[in-house]
Amino acid sequence: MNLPDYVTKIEGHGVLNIHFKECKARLEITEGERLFEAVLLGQNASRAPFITSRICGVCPTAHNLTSILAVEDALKIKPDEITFELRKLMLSGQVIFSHLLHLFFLVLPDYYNVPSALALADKFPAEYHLALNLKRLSDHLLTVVGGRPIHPTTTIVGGFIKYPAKGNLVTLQNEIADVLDEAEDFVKIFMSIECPEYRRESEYLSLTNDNYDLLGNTVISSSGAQFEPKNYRDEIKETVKDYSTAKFGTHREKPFNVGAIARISMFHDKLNPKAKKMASEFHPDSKNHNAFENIRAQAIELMHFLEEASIIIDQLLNMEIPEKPTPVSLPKLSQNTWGIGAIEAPRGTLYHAYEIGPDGKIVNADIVTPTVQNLTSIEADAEALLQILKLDQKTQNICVQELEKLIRAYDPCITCSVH
Amino acid sequence: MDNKPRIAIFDLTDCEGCELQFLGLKEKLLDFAQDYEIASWRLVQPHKGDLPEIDVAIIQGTVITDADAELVRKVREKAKAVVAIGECARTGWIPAWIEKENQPRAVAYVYGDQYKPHRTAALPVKSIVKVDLELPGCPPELTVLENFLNNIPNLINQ
Repeated sequence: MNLPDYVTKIEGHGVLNIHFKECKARLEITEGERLFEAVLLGQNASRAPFITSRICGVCPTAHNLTSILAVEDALKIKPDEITFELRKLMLSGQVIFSHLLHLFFLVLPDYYNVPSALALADKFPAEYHLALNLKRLSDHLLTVVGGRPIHPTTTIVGGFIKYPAKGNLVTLQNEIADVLDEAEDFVKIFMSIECPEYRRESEYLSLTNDNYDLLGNTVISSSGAQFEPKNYRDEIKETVKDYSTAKFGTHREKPFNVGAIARISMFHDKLNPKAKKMASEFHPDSKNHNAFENIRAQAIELMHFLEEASIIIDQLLNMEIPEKPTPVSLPKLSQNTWGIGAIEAPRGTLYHAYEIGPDGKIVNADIVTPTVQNLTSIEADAEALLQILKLDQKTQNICVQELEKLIRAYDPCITCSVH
Repeated sequence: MDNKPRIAIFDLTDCEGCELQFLGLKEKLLDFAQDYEIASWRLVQPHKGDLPEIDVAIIQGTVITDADAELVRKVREKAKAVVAIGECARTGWIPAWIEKENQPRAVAYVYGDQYKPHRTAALPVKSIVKVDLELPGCPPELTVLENFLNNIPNLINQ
């Protein structure tokens, strides 16, 4: 029995198709259509965060919170400060959880010449130990605040069902302090891996990150242009292709990049101290884009969000946290109203948009994921790299291997992209 | 190495949260991997060409495409025991909320009229092949997975 020729060690099912003569590369996405947008139609809007979390097991918290923001935007609900801080804390945990999975379990085997992360345990026990300690921390953080790491249980439209006990936050704070030094060693592993050299002009997009907290109000481009998230449909076009169950995104007709590489490129001066120091000589540039730099950008962000989680916990410990959240009643709409939520998910800007009727039910839904926005660039990068590899007269096997590494460097979430 | 029982993990169409739960077992998963050969796990290791006979096949996800259904049938042929983990594999879960008769309209809503979907239906694994064990949960709790892994010797000897 032969399994389909999926690119392994990525989230979801895609097949890389290379035409060597024409120097063309296609990422054929074959993931089944779950049709989440259609599933949402007729559902109570307050149920959307539960449903859409299930789009992705790697970034469920990102979908859950973006979904909540979209409903709150339509209903004009302004969450309180504790809710705001707890959401930021969850997002920090989400980024650590997702980047760690990608960096250690999916990327590192390529560079340490072992078939899988499970094989890393034998040959690189120290690194494995670091990875498991960081995994333990992110799982614990997401459990303390969100109820559990995969598919949160404490979050609702308006706030939280349950607040974390301060004692648990103190424990978390200590756990972060315990792993910070070894996290630095972990980040260094990825700062020093060798990446193939190729360059291409691209464009980077990210929500503004004045505090590098993933919750900006404006989308900003490396070109200097900017737009409000509510206008995303005028800016970002999704195209249906006959070879892919995922749509392909473009910004003003051109490929662009979102994610850690875009955020670090535009907001490196806002990084927390340890991360900033580690990134002092690392400034990815959209005009000389190399997708492999996303690996380093994620490693730096891992450090940044460990520091960020610690800062947020300090703030929460200085606040009065009531034993139970005050229930928020959801106002009735007088007419159909659109609500748009946007956050920086681990892989880039994530948009959820719902039209909600006076009965509180969803009338229309649209979700644009980071991987959809990156897909057009993945193919452009694959072709740019393929040209260099061909000039170097690399064998077809090497080309396939290097292109798969490139795809992996993007950390595509095909599961998300097809939703 | 060759005498170790062979386990394989397959994902159909899903969020991959169930297989990520296995990584949540951390050191316990490593201990487990010492005693078994993991013959296939697309998310974390490359293919090894032909799939050998498997003692226990773990399947997660909803059967949505023909490729999903074909994989399930092939896995059943090769595996002594088939285990469906998580609500998607067990019930079809959220994708199955769209009934077959509403599917064309739902596809057109998301992709437009001209699009030819890969999706044929949204079904649980047991609607395609015999399933020996089901583990509920979205995703299954860590203790459920741990008990399951500890019970694999009994499952193999049944």
